[in-house]
Amino acid sequence: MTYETVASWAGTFGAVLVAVFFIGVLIFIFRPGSKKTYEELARVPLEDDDIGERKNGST
Amino acid sequence: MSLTVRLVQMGLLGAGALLALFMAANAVDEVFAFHMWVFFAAAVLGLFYMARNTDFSGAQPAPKDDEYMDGVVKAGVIATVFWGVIGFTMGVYAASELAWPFLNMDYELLNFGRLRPVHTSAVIFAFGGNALIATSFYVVQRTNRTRLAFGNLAWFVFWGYQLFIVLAATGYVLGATQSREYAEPEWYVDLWLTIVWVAYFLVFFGTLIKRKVSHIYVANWFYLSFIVTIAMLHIGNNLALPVSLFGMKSYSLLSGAPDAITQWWYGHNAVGFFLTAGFLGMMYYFIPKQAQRPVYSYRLSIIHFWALIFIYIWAGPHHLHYTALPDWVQTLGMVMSVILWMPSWGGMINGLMTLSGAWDKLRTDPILRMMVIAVAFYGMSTFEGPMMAIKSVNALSHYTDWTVGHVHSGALGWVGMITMGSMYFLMPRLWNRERLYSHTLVSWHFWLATLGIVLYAASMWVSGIMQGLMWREYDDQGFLVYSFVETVEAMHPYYVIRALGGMLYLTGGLIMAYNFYMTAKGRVRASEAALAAAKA
Repeated sequence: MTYETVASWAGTFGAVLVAVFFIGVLIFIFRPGSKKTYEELARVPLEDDDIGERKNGST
Repeated sequence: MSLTVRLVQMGLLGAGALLALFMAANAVDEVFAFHMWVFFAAAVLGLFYMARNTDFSGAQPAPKDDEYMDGVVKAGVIATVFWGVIGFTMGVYAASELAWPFLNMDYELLNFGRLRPVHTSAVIFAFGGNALIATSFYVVQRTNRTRLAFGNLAWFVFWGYQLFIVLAATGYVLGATQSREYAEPEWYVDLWLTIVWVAYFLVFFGTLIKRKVSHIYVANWFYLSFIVTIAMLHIGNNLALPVSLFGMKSYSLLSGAPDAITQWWYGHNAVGFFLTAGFLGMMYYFIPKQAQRPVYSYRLSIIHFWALIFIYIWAGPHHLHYTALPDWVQTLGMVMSVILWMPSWGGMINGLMTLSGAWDKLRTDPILRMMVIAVAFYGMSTFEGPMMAIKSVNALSHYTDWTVGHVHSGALGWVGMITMGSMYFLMPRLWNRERLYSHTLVSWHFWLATLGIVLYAASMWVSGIMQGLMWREYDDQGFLVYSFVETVEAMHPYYVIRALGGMLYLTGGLIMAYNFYMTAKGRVRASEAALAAAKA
């Protein structure tokens, strides 16, 4: 494996792979029906335990 | 914890003490010998502590799985405040040396070249690092509803990291350095940090594995990417061969341009993953918490994460524009830096818009104000950075004070403010207090720090651009108009303003330390208690 093969791989397939991955992420997070999931997840920091009730939540 | 585990731990510490003694006895230079004695002392102290605090009767202690492990977070908050004040003080002193050189007292230990890495390491690794470790332990437990994994390993991470800081700082002052930006500690200190960091990874990752919720909240993603990437960068950048196994000096395995780009691959990703990704983890937990509002867009946070980590890793070459680095690598670094603007601003928008529906709190809540101005500075410096990475801009800005100003608007503004906001959030909660000692003092801290940053950044803009323009000024015969010393002379007033800005920032830090101390003691400032009672 020479420097040239690595560099050309990075400049072609590597770049395509990164683009495909990123577009995949976009498609995944905008999948139908996910709006509610993400609205719930946005509230995660607000729903953890506060002082005085330091018990493991069951959820 | 069972007695066997404790005995194994003590055995390891004892073996470590003996090894340190052996290394100290064979040391070929004084700094190495001194540092081995520090290792020895640390191991012996640890042994004493363990021996005094172990129940040798063999009784099984009650498991603590039903409560969070907050002791180590408390220690981290104390360390953050302590190292913050130290680091700011070192910065003010170093800045004052530049303005008034007599302050180095003609004494080599106070030389600017030795104090500067003490300042940078103290603020980045001691202040910032302790804040990251403490908040990551706090956040990973709460968002995953489980206690930290591997019992007291978290304590090893904490104390091991403090030992790393002491070794690094004393090494710089005594002249032990690899001269690699933000990675100055010599090979044996690097090896020690590697051990501590692997333990940190195990604690964090182990806690994620035993989580009681199905989804891993985004703040943890940022913290995890910070831990994993720093491990990779630290090992890659510090590949070196010691001259002797019993001496401090080592040489890098690489040389020339490959060595330079390795340093800046490390250096810029230390900015990207230590000073950005980790603190974004803080932003995604503590801003929603303080504002009592959900994250503006969870989808955007996912895009923010993947785009940021995919792009940041390529931006390093912009530190080596117009050098022996191949031209295409420079262009790559420039383009990736400019693209990086997008995820950075996506994240900034996500942080700021989390306040939607709670903007009025900015008027009454100085802690939230601190967090929000941190995000504003994040946006500012992530716009300035890509601009300075453009080669034609860089031709003017590189090697000047503009770079120093840029770094500090990110470090004082973003990293410092989000950290101190998070610390103010944590103090009353960890010490089980109703509220902070004083919100008025938080306000004072906020304004002193903000004013300090404005003085710092503005003076360095003027100084840097002036410096760059003076360097490139030719007369009609093709001669340079200014000698180097003339540029230095012209910068003097700005150095005084910069030192003043640093003093304001340090004063804010001292106020925080006082407020923290009084909060931990359980006091509430008299007039504020009366006001709260009157409102209620």
